[in-house]
Amino acid sequence: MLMPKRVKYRRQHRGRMRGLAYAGGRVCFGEYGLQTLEPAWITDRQIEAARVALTRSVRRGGKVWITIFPDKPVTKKPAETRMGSGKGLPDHWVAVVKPGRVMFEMGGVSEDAAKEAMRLAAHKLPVKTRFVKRDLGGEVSEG
Amino acid sequence: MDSARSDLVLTATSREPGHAQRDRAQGYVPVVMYGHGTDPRALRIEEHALLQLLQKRGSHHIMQLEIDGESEARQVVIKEIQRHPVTERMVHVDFQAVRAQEHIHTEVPIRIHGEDRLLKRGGILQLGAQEIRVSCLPRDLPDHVTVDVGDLNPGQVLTIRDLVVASGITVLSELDEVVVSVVAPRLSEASTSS
Repeated sequence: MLMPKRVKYRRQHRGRMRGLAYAGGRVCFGEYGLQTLEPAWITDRQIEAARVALTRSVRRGGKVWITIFPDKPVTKKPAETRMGSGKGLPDHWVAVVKPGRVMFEMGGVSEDAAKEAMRLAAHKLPVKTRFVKRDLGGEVSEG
Repeated sequence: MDSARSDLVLTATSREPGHAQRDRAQGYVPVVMYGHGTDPRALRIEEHALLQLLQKRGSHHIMQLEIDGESEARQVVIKEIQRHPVTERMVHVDFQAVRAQEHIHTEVPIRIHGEDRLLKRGGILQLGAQEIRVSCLPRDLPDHVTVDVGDLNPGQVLTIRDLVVASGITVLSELDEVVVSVVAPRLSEASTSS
């Protein structure tokens, strides 16, 4: 599963998820993308589940890009522990996404195949999503 | 060329700065026009007309901007379009006024041809730069720069150095910047794990 190799501080504040994704809202690498319409924490497991759904759906051919990275540690206190005694231990990692963020991209497959793959991947995620296409000033043309 | 560009005309009206949200609610896009030797002017353009023009012709052209109360249209290029991240509605547009004898610095889109042929031969396109930055006179400004990827093989890379641009155009982007690279398709999970 995705996680940082090393971090400066092991625990982070939870933070807020106000506003919209003013960066990372366009399809940059592939032709199609899956964009979130809600703010959320996407866990490393959810990203992995969505990646597996994408790659299994298209089977052979195609390329998948994951454009989010779970770099925020989430801590958890052990079960049946009294409150206090400091913050819990890091449990898993999440990526913070805001509305408009493109999370997965795909290329080298037909639009229908990409749509179906993204639909399956979207079921693994805790957010409402939208299928988006690459928007180029110079679009890809037939030939 | 003149007839082709005759439809690139937009009508703008002056607006009061500070009321952009009201303008948007009334169906206008707040815009600003600036340029060498002209003071920045806050204007607004009908959203529907601007959308139609952009959908039909794209945003990388010299356009004529007719401003209310002025006898002559201004030649402008679109410098920036700000869009809402979710609705993708235009929030604000920057126009730069240009003069016929002065070089302009702007971006030209790269159009990719032959992706179907590449796919049939078993290659997947990985995109890099989607625009190149150029300097040229307004009359030399191309609509786009074309690159043919149909004959590329997996592992091959095209950089901005490989693009063919017309004379009179100076490329300002880094020449080593990757435009497209071709990668081999991924094997299926079952075949890679076995």
